[in-house]
Amino acid sequence: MQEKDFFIVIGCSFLVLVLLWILIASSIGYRKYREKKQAVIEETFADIVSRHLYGNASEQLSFIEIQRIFRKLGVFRKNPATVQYLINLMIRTQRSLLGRNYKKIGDLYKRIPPYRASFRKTQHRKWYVRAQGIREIYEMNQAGYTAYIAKFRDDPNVYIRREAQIALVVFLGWESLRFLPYLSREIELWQQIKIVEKLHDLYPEPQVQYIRKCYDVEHDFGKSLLMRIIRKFRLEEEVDFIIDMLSHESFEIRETAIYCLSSFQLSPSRLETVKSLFGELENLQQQRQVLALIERSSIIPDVEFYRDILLNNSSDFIKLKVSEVLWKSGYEELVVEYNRSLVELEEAFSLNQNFQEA
Amino acid sequence: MNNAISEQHNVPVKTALIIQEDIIMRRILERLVKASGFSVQICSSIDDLALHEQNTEYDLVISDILFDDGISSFDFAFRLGNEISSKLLFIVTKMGQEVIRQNFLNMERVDRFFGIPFDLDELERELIKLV
Amino acid sequence: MIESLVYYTVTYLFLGYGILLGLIYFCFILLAVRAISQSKKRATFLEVEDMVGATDLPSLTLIAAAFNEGNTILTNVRSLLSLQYPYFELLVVNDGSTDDSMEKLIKAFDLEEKDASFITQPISTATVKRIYKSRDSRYRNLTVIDKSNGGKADALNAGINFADTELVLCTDADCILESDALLKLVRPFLQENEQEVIACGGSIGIVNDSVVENGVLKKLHLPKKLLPTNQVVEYIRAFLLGRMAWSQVNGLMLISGALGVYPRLRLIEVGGLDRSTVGEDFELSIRLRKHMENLDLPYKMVYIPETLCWTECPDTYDIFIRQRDRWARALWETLGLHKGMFLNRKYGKMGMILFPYWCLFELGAPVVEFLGLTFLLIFGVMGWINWPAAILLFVFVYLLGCIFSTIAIFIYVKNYRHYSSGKEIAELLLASYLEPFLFHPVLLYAQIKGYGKKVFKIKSGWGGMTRKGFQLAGKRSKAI
Repeated sequence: MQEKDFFIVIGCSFLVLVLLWILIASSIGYRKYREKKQAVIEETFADIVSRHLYGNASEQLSFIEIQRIFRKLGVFRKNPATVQYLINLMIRTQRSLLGRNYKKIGDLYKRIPPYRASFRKTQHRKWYVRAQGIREIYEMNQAGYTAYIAKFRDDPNVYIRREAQIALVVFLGWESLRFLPYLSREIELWQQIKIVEKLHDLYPEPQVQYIRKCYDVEHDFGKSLLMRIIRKFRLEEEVDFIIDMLSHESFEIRETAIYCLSSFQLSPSRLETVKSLFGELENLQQQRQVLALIERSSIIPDVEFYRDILLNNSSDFIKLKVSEVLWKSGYEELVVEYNRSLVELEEAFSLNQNFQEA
Repeated sequence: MNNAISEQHNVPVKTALIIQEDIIMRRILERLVKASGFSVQICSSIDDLALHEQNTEYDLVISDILFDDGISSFDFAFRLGNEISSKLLFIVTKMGQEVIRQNFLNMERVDRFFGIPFDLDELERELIKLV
Repeated sequence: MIESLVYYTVTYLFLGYGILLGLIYFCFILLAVRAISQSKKRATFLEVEDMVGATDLPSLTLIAAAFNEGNTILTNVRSLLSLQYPYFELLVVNDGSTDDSMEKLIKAFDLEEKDASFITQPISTATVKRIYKSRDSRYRNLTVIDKSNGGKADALNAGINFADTELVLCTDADCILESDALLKLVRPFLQENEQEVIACGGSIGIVNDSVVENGVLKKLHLPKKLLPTNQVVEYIRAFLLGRMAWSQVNGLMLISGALGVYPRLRLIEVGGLDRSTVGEDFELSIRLRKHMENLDLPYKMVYIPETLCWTECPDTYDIFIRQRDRWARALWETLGLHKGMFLNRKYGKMGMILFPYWCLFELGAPVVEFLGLTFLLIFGVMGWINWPAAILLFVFVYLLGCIFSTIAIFIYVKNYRHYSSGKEIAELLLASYLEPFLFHPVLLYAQIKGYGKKVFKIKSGWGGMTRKGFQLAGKRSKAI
């Protein structure tokens, strides 16, 4: 490489550096400008929404006045970033409310600028724009798009299908569970949480028939979702489904079952079923968790059950937990007796060894 | 009790303090509480209150428990009950899980606990009872 | 003839290494930009405001090891208790402190001793003397373990033993965590699908000379001295570019000990942290990955491209050298412990690409640089060097380094609000441009010193760093 070439390369590198400096400076400047603008939009929105919900007659604004105010603040179609910011504020507010005001806010949203923008987004080529569009539709309660959104419920993209499934729950309520057996792709934990929450917030009266129709669902994620629904709605009559899951082959399903059961006070007959399944659990941590569950649900501790574990279980880890339960329940003498027998056994073993060595 | 007096009717007006970081929830609560007949002081955090406002005795305080001030939510509610004199303390917060709700109500310094999302009509009914 | 052969062979070897490293850094930039962009887009579908009110979030224990932190322990614990997460337990492990840390904790939080007879210890640790819980309902989620001294790894293992939650977060007691750190770190576990998340980490920032009140970062300032400012730039490059790039290709091999979330059961399966190495965080990350490879289960380690944890860094060269010496020894020890993975197909991508990368470019770079300087000296003395060309090459490489640092700072400034004034950014840029002259040689010296200790088997431990503490805010509110 000639020295001349070096100078050219060095010159170009320096130009790149200068360009980066300009980019940094403009980035900071633009952000400061945008933050100021957003703060004004947020304050204006807060004022408009609060007036709409609780303003007196003289404070109410007409929808045309509201649209004018937002247009003055730069919220119009050619300014998508500002429109998106307003939509985010609308969603944030809608998510905070239930009952009569939830509906009232929905009526307001039908009239202010970004209403039709969400549907256009669902046809965008980028996944996050499509998913965003679906979310905006259900958060702003645009139920007219239910059938359109339903076709995204099994989309290969996890975010699109998540938002579509949540949308179906928002619009159809308990009836949306009929899609559950036909879904082929994973519903991850956050999605399950959102589905359960939306059901609980918007459709608080459980319709158990829809849950029961899904009991044969093959997928683990489906079983997990059903257990969480049973737990959230405190459906005592459906607890047997969760108890059955204690013997499932999947570690995660058993884990979810133990977690969900911890919200219930189990009846004596159900407690017996759980005890019978205890021995089938291979994982020691889960055995310990089930012991804690049994302890919490038992009014009177089943001493025979615990004694059996103490004498026959091979794991010291489990025996220690059982000892703790017995000790705290007032059966210290059992624990002491067991400990004494262990010491005697050890001494006898040691004597025997010494004898054999001699 | 330090009551604000209505000019027109010479009737003591109940006072309320709203502490909420979220401007939208703050404004909604402000209008709701005012519409229910209270005189309202609002702020986004305790630090924003002037000293004389901190020393005022309020009939009602409605506060969040999630602030970026290095104090746990339980500690905050405990100290709020000690430092700002009020007859009633309502919590309105996003961290509204059942276990959190129970823990706060068991503290006996909190009179009502609303986890967001919630029905504002429930809060309105409580306010009307007070007035 | 032979001289010419030696000269050109050595020169082209170093040139080849340099070009390869440059290409790798360039790839890092592209991957990191993509990773950050995707992470931000995904985060809009799982916002922390939405998470904070959710039920069924995974339960989490925050384990903070403390040793002789008497001056700051109360502030630190209160700050950790203020983290916004509905289902978390704080477990402070007092690792045999000789000061009054325990007395202060017992008094401030109204602690009472609890029966520890039935506590199991799947991972063996130094003796756990006592366990304390608070009588005060405000601190119901605080537990303090008092144990004999065993080192940081041992203290964290004791915490892992005692924890009873799905996840554990290991951190230092003197780190400042963002109030929503737990929510953000748990996010990847909520979105887990085919690949199990076995570890999640976040970026760490430097808080020297900043304003801290009640253990919360109130006003972030750039450090006043050049050395810590250099480290700010270094952290930005390492976390934002390096780790995000690796996270994008599921090639992350290191989750920092100051901020790492793990499934508790996996930690127990691998036997917790290794007490025998000074780089227990790096060693744990490798061992976790190895464990999942052995189980033949799909997994990933995830990085959050946000600064969730703030800590002090060394502000004198003496302490800085000791720290980097230790990190170099940690790297050497850990790679040595797992040398069987090198080009071992059994470990898939980790054995064939990631581990060799760490050996050649992370461990190897200081050695190559040191050898390069040595050869430069020798060739210079022999009169073999074309000095004008060498100087021009140096200027070009220097500018390339400046471009990398500037890009890192640009990405940081564009995506995050931490340093937003023109003055701060100018200082960051200046520090990065002075780095090759004032910072990098000291770093190289420290690394070679660390390697030298391993080669010549010179015993050395953690070394100490006296925390200066933070600037306290002048005004405190009356009420709280």
